[in-house]
Formats: sequence, C-alpha cells, structure tokens
Amino acid sequence: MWKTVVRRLLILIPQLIALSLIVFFLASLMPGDALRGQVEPGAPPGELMRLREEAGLLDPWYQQYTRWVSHIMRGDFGRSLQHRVAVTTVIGDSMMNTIRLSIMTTIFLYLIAIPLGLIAGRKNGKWIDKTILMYVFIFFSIPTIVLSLIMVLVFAFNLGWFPAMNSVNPVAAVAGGWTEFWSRMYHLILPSLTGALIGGVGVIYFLRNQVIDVQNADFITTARAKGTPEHRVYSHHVLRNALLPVAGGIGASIAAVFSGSFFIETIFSLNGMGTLFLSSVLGRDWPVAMALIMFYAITGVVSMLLADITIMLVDPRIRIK
Amino acid sequence: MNEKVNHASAFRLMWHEIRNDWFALIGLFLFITIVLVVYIFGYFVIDEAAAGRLNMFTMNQSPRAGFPLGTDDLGRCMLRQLILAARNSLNIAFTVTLGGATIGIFIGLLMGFYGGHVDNVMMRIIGLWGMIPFLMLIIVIRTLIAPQTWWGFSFMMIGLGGFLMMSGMIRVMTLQQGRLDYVSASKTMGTPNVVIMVREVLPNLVSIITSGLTLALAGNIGLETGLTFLGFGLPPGTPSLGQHLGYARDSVVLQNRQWQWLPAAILVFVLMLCINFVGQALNRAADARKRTV
Repeated sequence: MWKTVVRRLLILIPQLIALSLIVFFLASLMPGDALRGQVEPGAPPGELMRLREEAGLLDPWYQQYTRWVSHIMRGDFGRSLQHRVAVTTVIGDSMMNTIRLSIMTTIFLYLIAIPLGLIAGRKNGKWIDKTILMYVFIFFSIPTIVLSLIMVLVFAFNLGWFPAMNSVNPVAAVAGGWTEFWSRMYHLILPSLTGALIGGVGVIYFLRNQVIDVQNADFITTARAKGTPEHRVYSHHVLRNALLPVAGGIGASIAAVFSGSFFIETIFSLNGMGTLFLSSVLGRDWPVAMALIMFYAITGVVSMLLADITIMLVDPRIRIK
Repeated sequence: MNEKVNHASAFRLMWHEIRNDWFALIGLFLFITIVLVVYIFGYFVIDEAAAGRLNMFTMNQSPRAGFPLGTDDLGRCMLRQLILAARNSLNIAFTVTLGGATIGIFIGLLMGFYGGHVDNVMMRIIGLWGMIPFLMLIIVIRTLIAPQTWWGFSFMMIGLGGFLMMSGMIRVMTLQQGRLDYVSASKTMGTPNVVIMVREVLPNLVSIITSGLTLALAGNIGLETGLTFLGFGLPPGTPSLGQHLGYARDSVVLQNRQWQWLPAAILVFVLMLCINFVGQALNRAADARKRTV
C-alpha cells in the first residue's frame, strides 16, 4: 500500500510544478504592479524603475520564478498590497474562520446524513425512504445561493433566531474567552447548517445504497439465521459495515466544504478565505490571490490523497493500482 | 454480451424512461414550457430597449396592477426583466453546454480511438486542470478579459475548460467501444477511421452523451448565476438570473423587497429541479442495469 502512496506523491511533484508555473504566469499577466503605489508623488522620474530593479522585476522570468518558488518553500508568499503586511498573516486571519465553518458544517452534515441514510436504506421502498429520497433530490437541485438567501430571510430576518451576518458579535469579541467562542459558534450555525443540508445529500444517497447492499450480504443472512434480534442485526452487523466507507470519506468532505464556501461566506458575510479571495481580486491584490489559489489547489490534492489512503486503510479490499 | 442485445434505439429507450417516470415527464414538460415562454417573450414580445428604460416614478414598487412582479431600483418592470434575464442565462447555459460538448466529444473520440501521445498529453492537461480550483481560475481570468455579452462570456467558459468533463467521459467510453468486435471487424474491412468513429462508435455513445448534457446544463446554469452573483460574471447592466439573485446581497432588498430576487431564485431552482428529474431518467436509460425495459 505504501508503494501506491509514494507513487501518488511522486506524480504530485510535476503537477505541482506545472501548477505553480500557471499561477506565476497568470500573476505576471495581471495589470499593475506592487510598486506603483509606493512611489512618492514628488520622487524623481527614475525612481519607479530603480525600485523595480531593486525588487527584481526586471530580471528574466525564470530567475523571478525560481526566486518566487524558493520564497514559497520557506513559507514566504510576499506582502499583501492592500493590507501592507505579509500574505501569510492576512490569510491566517481568515483561514481560522473558514476552518471553523468547515468543521461545523462537517459535524452538521454527518449528524443529518448518517441517520437519514441508515433509515432510508433500512426502510428501502417504504414511504419514509421515498420522502428521504425526495429530500435528496430537492437539495441536490437547489443552488447554494438560493438556499442560503432563503435561510437568511426565514431564520435570520423573519424569525430572528440567528444573526444574519458577521462571524462574531463585536461586543463578545472584545470580551474574549468563552463569550467570544459561543458567539462565534452561534454565528456559524445558520451558514454551516446551509452547507450541511446541501453537502449531506451525497452522503445520504451513498449510505442508503451501502445499507441496501450490506442487507443482502451472506453474513447478514447468517446473523438472522442464528436468531439475532432485528435491531441488533442493524446496530451491530449492517451499521458497522455500511459506515466504513462513509468514514473514509470524511477527509474529502471537509475539503469539499472548504472549497465550496465562496457563496456561503459571501452571503453570510463571514470573513473567510473565500471572501478574502474575492476582495483581493477586486482590489488587484495579486500576491494574496495567487497564494490562495495555490493553497486551495494543494489542499484539494492532498485531501484527495488522504481520502484515498483512509479508504485503503478502512477497506483492505480496495487497492488502487 | 451477445445474449442480451437490445434493439430499441437510444432515443426510444430515453423516451421510455421519461414516460414511465411522472417526475421526469412533468419536469420535461415544465422545462420546455419555461424555455419556450422565455424565448418567445424574450425575443419577440418584449421590446428590450423600452423594458430597460429607467423610470423615476415607479422605483422599487411592490407587485401591483401593471407590474405583476413589482419594479426594480430603476423603476423597470421586474417581470420583463426576469424574462430577459432568464433568456440571457439560458443562452449562456445552452451555448456553453452544446459548445463544450461538441469540442469535448471531438477531443474525447480522438483520445479514446487513437490513444498514444495525443491521449497522454490530453490526460496530463485534464489532470492538471482538475487540480486548479475552477471557480477561482475563472474569477482571475475574468479580470483580464471582461466579456460584455452573453456569448463572450460563453466562449470564455468553454475555452477555460467547459469541454474537459465531456472529453474525459467520451474518452473512457470510446476506449471501451474500441475494444469491441464490431470495431475490429470494421477495421479489417478497411473502413476509414473517421467513418468508424463518427458513424459506428458515436451512435453507441448517444445515451451517455445526453445524460452528460443534462448534468452539464444544470451545472452551467449554476455557474453563470454563481459568478454573476459574486460580481464576476456578466457586466452589471446585462440582465441575468445571477444579477437578479445579486440584488439580494443588499440586506434591505433581501428583507423588504423580496419581489426583486425571490422570483429569480424560484426560477433557477425550478429549472434545476426539472433538468435533474429528466437527467435521472436519462441516466437510467444510459445504464443497462438500471433500465426498466
């Protein structure tokens, strides 16, 4: 198995190099550079060129590229043009919000999806299964934007149960400690529930089919034949076998939530990485935007790899060639 | 493989699956109705210039006689705007889907049929493209080239990889078909490769292509609305479903002027639901194990 993992990692290397080249060229195509704004209005005419020379912007592209890559290797993504601090600082702040959101979403997702998937599979063909399938179908079709807007309208504005925007109450943020923590959690309920309702659809459908498959397996017939009570058949024999592959997918689903948060973060005005990306593109803050693209791409690839490894660990029958 | 030969044509199979599924039947009917209404009214009934004219006296009015869906912040009739918006969004969705599929089928057939270097290079590109977050890529490129019209936007989306999903799918299917006896038989008889690809392999992929098309259509409607909603799609002056949803980014509109965004939201949802119901039936038709015949 480790052979497979190592091979996958080796394939990653040329892909990452190609990706970094694409991102680098995209950045160099972008209009405007960082230095124009830093030149004092009264400075001599050659000042801008001198600054560019100093920053190495006049070097050949391959020198610029290798310098950029070697900086990234040391964790230095350059400075944000808008915020005038290191890119890593800017991203770090918003990353915490996105991580909180994706953890909450994943928790809600499995809280919703596991019971529904199990019930639908067990009552296969009954009305409750049909109802759950209907739910799956509706939430498979509804776009994240539409659901988020309706959630805000109904639960935040009309019913007033949850705050409509921001990631924390400013008063609570000053107080710090548990007050701040609970305020953050409270602000995250609605957005993460929205994400979970949509994201859970795939898990429900998968789990349902899984339960239906396992139900017909020989060892279940054996369990029934030796007189195991029906509820025990489900809780001990079906559940464990059906849940295994789902457990393997947790990593992948966290990553999916991570990358799909643009709309939810925008609509609920959470200061996450998605909104940071949008605002840095609008503000022509290319160092931040490029670092975010690289970050998202690498997270995506690594989490896919992790998901494959966990599935291999969980289910020894699967060996990816 | 030979015992269970199914002689029904792909389109007959698809129609059979749709006819026996109430949801798919209603979905198909509703979808066609919406598309017809939107195109007939959008192109022949509504005067676009007149509908887009600003009217200071009728700004932000709730639904009433004369304005069945109220008016927007420029005093224009929301119903007319909604139809124009749906027209533009559907134009984009259809163009990207069909354009992407045409290029995708072409490339996929070549990759699957010839294999070798073409296939290898294309697979590398597809793998690399799969790594880049697609939404972010479009947003960045969108700041370089800012398409002003629906077709400019469509071409941008096709060019940025709207064809890759279809080409990957067709490649796998062509690889499978290429190993079957009828292809070898045809090759021995000296049929030119182009004829084998287009007249013999392609018809066998019809059902998988149609089910892929429905999936892509729903995805492209979502992509346009999403990008325009975020402000990286069509320019602000062009009506589109995403632009209508974007009104709701203003919390005053979201809360108090629901007639300005809710109809568009419902329309997007209904379109998606219809497409997915039909798509599910087509999927069954494409998969021999799930067919009801």
